[in-house]
Amino acid sequence: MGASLTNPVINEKSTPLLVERYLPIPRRDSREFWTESRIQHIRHLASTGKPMMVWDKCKSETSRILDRLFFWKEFEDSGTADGVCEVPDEISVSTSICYGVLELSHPLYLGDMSFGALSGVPNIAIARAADVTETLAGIGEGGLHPEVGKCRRIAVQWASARFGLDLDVLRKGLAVVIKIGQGAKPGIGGHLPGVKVVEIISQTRRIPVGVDAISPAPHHDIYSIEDLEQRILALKEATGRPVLVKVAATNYIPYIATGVARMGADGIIIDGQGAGTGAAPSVVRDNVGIPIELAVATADDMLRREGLRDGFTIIAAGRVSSAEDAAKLMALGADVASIGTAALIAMGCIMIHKCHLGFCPAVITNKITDNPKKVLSLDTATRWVVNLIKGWSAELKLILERLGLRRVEELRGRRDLLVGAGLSDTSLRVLGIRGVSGKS
Amino acid sequence: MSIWRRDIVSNLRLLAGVEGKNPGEPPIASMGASNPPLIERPLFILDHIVSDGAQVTRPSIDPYREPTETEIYLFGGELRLTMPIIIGGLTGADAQHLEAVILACFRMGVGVHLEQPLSRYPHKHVRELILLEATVGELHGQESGPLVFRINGVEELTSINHALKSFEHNNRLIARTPCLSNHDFYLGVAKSGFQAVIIDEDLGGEESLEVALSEADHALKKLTIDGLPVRYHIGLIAASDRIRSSSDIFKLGGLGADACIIRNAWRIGVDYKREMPSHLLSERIENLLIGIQREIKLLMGAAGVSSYQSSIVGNRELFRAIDLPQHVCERLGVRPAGE
Repeated sequence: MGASLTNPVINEKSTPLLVERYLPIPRRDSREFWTESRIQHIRHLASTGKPMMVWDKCKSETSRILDRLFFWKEFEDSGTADGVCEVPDEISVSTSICYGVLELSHPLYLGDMSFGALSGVPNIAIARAADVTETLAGIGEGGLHPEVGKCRRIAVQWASARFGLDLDVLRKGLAVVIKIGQGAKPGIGGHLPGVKVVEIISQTRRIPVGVDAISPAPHHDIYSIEDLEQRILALKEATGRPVLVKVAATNYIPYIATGVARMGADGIIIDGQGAGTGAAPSVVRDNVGIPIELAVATADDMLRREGLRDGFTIIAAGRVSSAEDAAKLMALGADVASIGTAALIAMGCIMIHKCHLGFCPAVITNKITDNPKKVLSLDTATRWVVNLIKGWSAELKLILERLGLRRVEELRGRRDLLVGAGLSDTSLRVLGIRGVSGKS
Repeated sequence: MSIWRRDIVSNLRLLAGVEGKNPGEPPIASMGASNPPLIERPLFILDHIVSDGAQVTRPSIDPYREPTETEIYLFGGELRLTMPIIIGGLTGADAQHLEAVILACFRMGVGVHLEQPLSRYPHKHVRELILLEATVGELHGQESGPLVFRINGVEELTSINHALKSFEHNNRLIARTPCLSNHDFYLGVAKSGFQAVIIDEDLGGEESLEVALSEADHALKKLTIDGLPVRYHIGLIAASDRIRSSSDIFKLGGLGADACIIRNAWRIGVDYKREMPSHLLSERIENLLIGIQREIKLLMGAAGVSSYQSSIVGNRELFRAIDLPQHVCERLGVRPAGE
């Protein structure tokens, strides 16, 4: 008996082991952005729901542009903010944010990860965590998992292959996301390897079993900005929901963001180079697109210049690993940060980069089978993601408090609070911040 | 730190069929990238350069479903290569291996750069694809086919130019030079009747390959004859031991290279050994070339480009530099990311 849509993951006949603990983090034989200390930090947040630090110590391990940006305030703290484990009662800082008809208790969007790329339980856990924490979860382009469809705070994705979409599905969420591009593979479509296209994925996506699900690179009905406007307006009219447009961070991102805003979208999700993916040709993943920090800064600049920034939301995605990352992206111009890989790590991902093969030791991106030997515990996974958001938000509150801000919205566009260390003249100019010779 | 990172070597071997079970297929990866310049340490200018992803107003092209053309033309259109690749680094290969490599290149329609004389003369169609190293003294009596002359600077160019005028020949002439930034030198090469320039980092020079190539491209585009830039008639070929992958070739294309001579990359990709059977060598080279071509097509499609020669070669606008100093960006003609 195959897995069914109503009980898609756990077959009644099987008695799989429920995964409720983290696996050991394997040793690396090459450099990795998601270092052991980053994973440990996320695990701490996910296990406790409490903050671990104010300023992100992990940033010294890698050399993203974002890692070489600092809040001035951090220089003054000189270690006094290390080792926090609670948000003191006297701190009264709001992390809630409102855009359009959507209100988020925390400025976090749980990035679009599809059913198929993830194995079901993680999709449900993320959507339920969004409901509990009053954030928003993108469902990705793999159609709507029935259990995910029971959650309110989801954004339904309208991507180039239209997998499993109809009007009912589009109306299920709080928002619709038109996916144009993705940070891990700008310019090419989604890719679910055939080995992971099992019966239930076939039913949900309405595609044949065992065949690679390679989405068209462009939307074949969007070949101009005017085409995009038609789709935005049609989806708004059909669903009554706000429409976000997801694009990759590429050369012309300021112009694209301006065009998206002018065409009536409620916001843009900009996904930067280095973002996670379930499967992508490595040559594209490694060589196409620009980092999110540069993209957000320039998109914000141009939207302001064109008078289009008010009421238009920028969601920044791609290697967002900590509250400090989110805060810096907001200072550069974002309203909301998107976390995808961090949510997977909270659910036990150990970053072995084998999602496309369907053999995930943490049973997050594994191939769905009728009689699995082990499955991720839905309750535990949901709790981990909820805790991650709470702990993350607590660290963000501590940062805001250090910066002397009362509301997270006050951080948006405050580049004067940032300084760059060890950045090229070109990066500093694009970011619109001052440079210092090195961090003391 | 080795320039041949584990992921680069593995990628080449997957393409060649040494590893994995899908030879010629671009390897698939998952989760985020960890490549230079932001995670792994950048070693070369190329590591700082990224390509564009087309979207919305300039839709991408789907290389799985729509045609994209990787061929390039040299010698004013007389030599067509199916992809911008020339296999080099064949010094020391025995006659059987040499023949196996040449055969694979002929089948795949790519060039071969030979620094040693041929033991027997190949069919004339095969000879057209062989860029054969020569000296002026050897010019007399050569069968037709591209000949490569090493020219290290202006003085040597003058003497070779003088010598060449004293011979009657039907060969296409290629200058092989170190990485120089002297515009006058490249203009001199063009005016001397050379139809292509190999800018070879392995010969040394005062510049990196990226800068020298870009300067040569700029210089040759500025010089016009009968109203047309000389660059239309003269090919630019980049050569270096450290051209590692399809993405390196693609980025060098953006900086002006019509084609690239790869040396170590194919040896590493096919896991070259002196004792390996010739048929296996041919097979792996063909796999590798098919794979590199497909990867180039993926990059082209992502950038919304259907023709390599007309839209990639020298088209710096499709590329951006991440965290490179302004003065380097200016010499390359590549804008900083975000600008």
